[in-house]
Amino acid sequence: MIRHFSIRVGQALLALLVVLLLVFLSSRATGSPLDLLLGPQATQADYARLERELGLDQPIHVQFGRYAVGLASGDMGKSLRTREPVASMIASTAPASIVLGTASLAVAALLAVPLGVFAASHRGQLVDRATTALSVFWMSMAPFWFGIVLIAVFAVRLRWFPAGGNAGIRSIVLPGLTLALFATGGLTRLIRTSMLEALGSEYVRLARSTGASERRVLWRHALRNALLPAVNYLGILFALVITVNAVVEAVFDWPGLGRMVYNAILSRDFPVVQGLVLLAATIAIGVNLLVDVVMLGIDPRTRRG
Amino acid sequence: MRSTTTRLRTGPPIWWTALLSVILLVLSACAGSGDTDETSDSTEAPTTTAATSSTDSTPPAEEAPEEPADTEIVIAKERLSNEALDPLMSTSGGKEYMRLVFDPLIGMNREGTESSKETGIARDWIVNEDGTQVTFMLREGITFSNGDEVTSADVAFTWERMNNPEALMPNAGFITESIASVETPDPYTVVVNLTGPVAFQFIQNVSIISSGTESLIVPKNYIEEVGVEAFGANPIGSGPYVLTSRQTGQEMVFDSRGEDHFAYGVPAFERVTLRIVPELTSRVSQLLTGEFDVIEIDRSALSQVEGDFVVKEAQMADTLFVGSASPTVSEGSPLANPSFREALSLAIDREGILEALLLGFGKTHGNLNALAVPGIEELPADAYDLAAAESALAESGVDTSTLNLTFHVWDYRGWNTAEIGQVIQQSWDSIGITTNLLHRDYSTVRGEWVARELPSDSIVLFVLPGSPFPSGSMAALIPCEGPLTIACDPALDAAAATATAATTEDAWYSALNEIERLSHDMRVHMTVVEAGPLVALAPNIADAYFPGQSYADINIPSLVFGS
Repeated sequence: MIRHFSIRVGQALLALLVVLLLVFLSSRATGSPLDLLLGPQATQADYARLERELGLDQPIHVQFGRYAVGLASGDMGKSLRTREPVASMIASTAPASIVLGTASLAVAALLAVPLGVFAASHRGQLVDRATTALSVFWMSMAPFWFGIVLIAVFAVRLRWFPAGGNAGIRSIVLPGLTLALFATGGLTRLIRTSMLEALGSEYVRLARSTGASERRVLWRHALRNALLPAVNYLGILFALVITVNAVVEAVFDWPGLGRMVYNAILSRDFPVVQGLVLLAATIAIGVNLLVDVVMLGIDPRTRRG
Repeated sequence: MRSTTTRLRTGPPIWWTALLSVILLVLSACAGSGDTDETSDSTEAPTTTAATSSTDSTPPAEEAPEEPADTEIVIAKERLSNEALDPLMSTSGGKEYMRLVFDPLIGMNREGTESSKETGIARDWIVNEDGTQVTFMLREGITFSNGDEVTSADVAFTWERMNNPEALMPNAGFITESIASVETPDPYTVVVNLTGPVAFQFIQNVSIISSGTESLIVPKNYIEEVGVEAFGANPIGSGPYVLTSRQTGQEMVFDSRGEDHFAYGVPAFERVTLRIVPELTSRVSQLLTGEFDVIEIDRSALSQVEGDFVVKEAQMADTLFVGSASPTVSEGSPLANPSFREALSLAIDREGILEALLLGFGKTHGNLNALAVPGIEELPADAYDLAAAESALAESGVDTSTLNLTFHVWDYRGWNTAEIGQVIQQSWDSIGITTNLLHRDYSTVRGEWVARELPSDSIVLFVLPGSPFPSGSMAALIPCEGPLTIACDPALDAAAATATAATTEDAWYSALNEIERLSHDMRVHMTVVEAGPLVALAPNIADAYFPGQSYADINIPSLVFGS
């Protein structure tokens, strides 16, 4: 088991390194940030000075080496725009994204679980088809479009909620709903599929044959196993929602990490983009690793995998 | 055996249903009819109300609420180029919010169009006969927010710290290279001995109207005490406001010092909140709901706000012109042919572009720089005349079947340059001049231009920001060796050299007008339109706002002038 765990950790670290290299190179491929920082009236001397100050005059491999070494000691570099440490920028902004992500995924889970169970238990019937259609609609719906519609109706027209910003619990409703419905679609489909698989398994047939009620069979026996892939999916979704959820945060002016990465991309603030993408990758890989470890512990079959 | 008529209970457990019901109840309780900005659930954010008038910062006694109401203005910008709080670390822009905290050595009028002796720390200045020395006389009794008085030592220190190699302000190099020595004979007198007869240029570079943040005076004692980094995190200045809080990339909050400021009086608002909101729909939505009082707005969104809000355009706007990247123009090139350039210019429908694509916000003329530049003489634009364009093309003798022109456009600060470029390209196409339209980012084009790697026969659609003292842009665009040169002509080179060597304001603006006339007559630049960024304001504060320069985007200080 230790050997298995070590292999998993090694794979995770390798994946992180690949992500780091890819984001480092691709962000620089978008162009130089100097024009955005200096403006068209700057002189060549201004460009040279700023390039030197920001370390952008060094060869790319030198820049990467310095960044990697800094990263190893916890230094994610400084924002090219504000000269603020990226780590502290993330730390101060993360709570807003965590709040939004947690709330929206909690609502998504609360909606998706009963919907998925219901659909699976009424397979082929009208309620199953309706649930499937609704799930596909929510998955297909562009979050930015839906968000704008919610703002136009509930904020601008009805004045029930603020149009943007983070000024209290009412501010979280519209962006939370947008994210929740988007996540509910995929989660519902996943739970339905897992439930169908679980309902066809031997232990469920055994439970039924022992006289357990259908409700007990669904909620106590089948759902427990069906939730495992959903938990994995939620973990990855959580990583994405709190780090690179740029679209919803931009539309709702939510002051989170997603908006930070959106601003950073527009202004070619490489260290911020790198830091946030790396954070997202770390969380996603970490969640996967954690699930793997848990599975290793509870399911002997996975140890042979 | 279970009866087949027994209904299977497969619904969710009751606890699940109860939890969902509670959540829905909470959500419905959060929703409510009425104005969203009546109350705030946050104990940190103040109640947002638009001011009644810039000249009346206190409500009439009969309307006063039970608790004193804070007056706040919320301004939303699309982005900030950099968000430094230390003037030394500001690369460009930034001066509009920094002017809330710091005062400039030489101020500008409320309208943001010219220098003023009323709004700067220097109440007057004297230039010696040969332009090698400037003596600034400072106002007495101005204090930083920590109580220290502003003295000549602070002015000298402000310039001295520009020698720091980490300084990012664009004109720091010119200022430090111009200064031979600084004397402070008393706390309110600063004598600057210059390295040459550059007093005129030096004054322009320490004037807030022409410079970035170079003009802003910082506290010597405080910075020496706490260090540069601490100062950058918690700046203090002599301006009417103090920075209360900031969240990088999101907002800055400034609170009034509550004092009668020498330039602004008692500020009109107790709090100024500057929000950074990149998404246009979000800015517009929050303006419509009253959460924002002032926003940057694109022309594409004007229909959503017209009638209910006031839209204003920068007075010293950008000029959009067509020119050729002169390093790509060889002797036999069609772009070197005056008649061919005439054909290009006559085929541009300037009025049509202004009305259709810029919705009438802007103006047409023949100048390279904005018409608000002091002393500039207005030049006429070529009238749109396709028949005359075809005649000019015929007269040029250029074989249009062999043309290989590249037309470069790039995005810049909300300008719909791609659209405008396409319209111009189609106009040229209609008279037989075909071009290859290349839409790329400015960084790439600039890099190739400076390195002289643009394709042969390159035409550019260039946005030149409005500035009252456009010395930097003229030095870049006009001389044959300029990094972004659009010209290579001895007469223009001579005019540019005259401007650089000018030691008085009159001499400089005379040289500028010479550059304008020569460039116009030779059609080195073919101005399409002059137009600036737009700002949408709540009606009750619109009268207080003066748009100022395009490069400053939002002239925030003009809003805070009090009684």
